[in-house]
Amino acid sequence: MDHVLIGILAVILVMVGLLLLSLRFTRNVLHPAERIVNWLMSAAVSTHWYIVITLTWKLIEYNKELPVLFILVLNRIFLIPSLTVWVIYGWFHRKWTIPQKAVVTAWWFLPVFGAEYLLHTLGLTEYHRWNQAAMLADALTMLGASLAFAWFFRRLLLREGECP
Amino acid sequence: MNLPSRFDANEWFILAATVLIYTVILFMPRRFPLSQSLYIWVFNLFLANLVDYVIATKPLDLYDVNDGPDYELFDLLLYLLLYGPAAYVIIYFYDRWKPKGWAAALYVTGWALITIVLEWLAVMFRVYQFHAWTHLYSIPSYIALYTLNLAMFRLLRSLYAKKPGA
Repeated sequence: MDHVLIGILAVILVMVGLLLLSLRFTRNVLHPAERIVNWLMSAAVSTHWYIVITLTWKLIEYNKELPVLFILVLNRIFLIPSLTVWVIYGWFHRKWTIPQKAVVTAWWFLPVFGAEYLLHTLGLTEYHRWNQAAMLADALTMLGASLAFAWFFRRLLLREGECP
Repeated sequence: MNLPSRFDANEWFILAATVLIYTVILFMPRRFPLSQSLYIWVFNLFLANLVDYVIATKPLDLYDVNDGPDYELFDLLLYLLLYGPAAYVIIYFYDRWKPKGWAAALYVTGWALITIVLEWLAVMFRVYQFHAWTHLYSIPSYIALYTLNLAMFRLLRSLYAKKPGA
């Protein structure tokens, strides 16, 4: 089991590294401050929501080993926020059409749900009353809050004369 | 969201500290654009969530916040209302006095020591219940957190002259 955990941890670390590096390519649309602040906000919302789901409602129980906790934290704090910044990039892109923006958003759900199912399939998380509707509500809340904040933050930057 | 099991000292402490810190902040002359103040709040919301999730839950479970291990309304209020404004005050005076070198180190250490006193008070009021954590661990932790806060704020400010695509 330890080898499996270390393997997953390594894969997630590589993915996180690549995703963080890829955020450089969002600079033609997003202000540098926007990239940082939106990433932080998405990470805060995602972790906060996960704390509520696991500690308060106890809908998901996770294996109480340190590597498992690190995998969950990396998923919630680095993987999901980095993907969310890409969705925000898509939404703020002036040349992209509504269907293109919808496709980018749809792509966001694949790794987010995929990671959840992968952790469950590997036996790292156990579901109690946690189903696909709850998973969808969780994802939509995270995405909705992040996009609303991103929109608000862009308004602020525009007012301060910082955005294009 | 769970409500507190009993509304007692820890809840009153959080409410009183919130009123106190916002009184201080609202009477300070405005120094940063709103977006930068918002960044300070978001960054500390993120840090508090991350740190508490990693070290205050199992397997490490070094301390509990408020009435127990469960996440409740006043945990949320602590994150939303207190950590960000406290960091704002530290960054505010750093930006105003602009300490350099040893003065900057002294500034951060001084705030860390003030925070230890406040933390001791918070423990008395049962806002934190330490299991394997001690105030001694808090000193380097606060120094690291405040240094990170100041470094990140300087980084963010340096980005403000730049425009996308530049």
